[in-house]
Amino acid sequence: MKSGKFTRLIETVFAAKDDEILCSEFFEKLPRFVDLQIAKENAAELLADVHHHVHQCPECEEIYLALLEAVQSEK
Amino acid sequence: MRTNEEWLRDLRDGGSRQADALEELREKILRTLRAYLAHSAESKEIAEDCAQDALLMIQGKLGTFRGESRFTTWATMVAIRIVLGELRRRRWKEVSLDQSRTGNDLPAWPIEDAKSLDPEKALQQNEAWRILKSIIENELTSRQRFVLVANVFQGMPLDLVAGKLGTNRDNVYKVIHDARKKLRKSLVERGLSQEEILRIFEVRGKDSR
Repeated sequence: MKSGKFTRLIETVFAAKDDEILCSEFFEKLPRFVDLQIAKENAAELLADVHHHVHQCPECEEIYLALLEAVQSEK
Repeated sequence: MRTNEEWLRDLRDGGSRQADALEELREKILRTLRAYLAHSAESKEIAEDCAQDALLMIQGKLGTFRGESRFTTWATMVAIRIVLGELRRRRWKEVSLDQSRTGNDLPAWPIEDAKSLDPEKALQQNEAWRILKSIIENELTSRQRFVLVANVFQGMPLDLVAGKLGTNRDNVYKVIHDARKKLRKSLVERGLSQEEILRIFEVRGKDSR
């Protein structure tokens, strides 16, 4: 694997919390998270579990980044 | 611009308002998907198919929209999940991995880049990888090992891992999560912290990138 992926593996191992949301709950909350970010609200603090999942799940992070870019470009 | 209530009302209308709303949504989704695929090696042809699939899914899932965001943000997410799922499936198919090896073989060395040229550092790296590998091979359950190797080391998408195991994405994520917790506990017991491992492998963490 690339060194960035290895780093991510190690970081996610040490960042794992006892209580984390799963991908389906992440998708339920992601649109609000993105709208809060677009509105310059502190989304990471208001939806800390979503913010944490973005860090822990690279595939969900890819969806988050694509959605953020899409919504920003439609503004 | 429609409000959330107007989108829901129009998409359920069944008449010309529904047709107009669907067309507006289709154009919006198509614009998003084309923009996303603009720099992708994959053909833009999948934009049309994915937009169509997204529209069907959005209509089918209208009842699950909770109104906590703008409707269009929610609908865009549905479309992006579909196109990214398709791209991942296509990319995974192109990986010429022997199917029987999926989820089985840990690499001999975890990082593609060369080992350290410093003999002392190279020794530390060998030892750290030996420990990490040993925990994965001997302390994780067979299911945890399969999922971690397939998804993290071999790059098999979560949804496909779930399909192979006859389960869903949430369960696969939970297995990875449990594997991570077990890995952390075992690494800490052996005196290895995140900073120490990243230092040994000469890779930088997010904060210092």
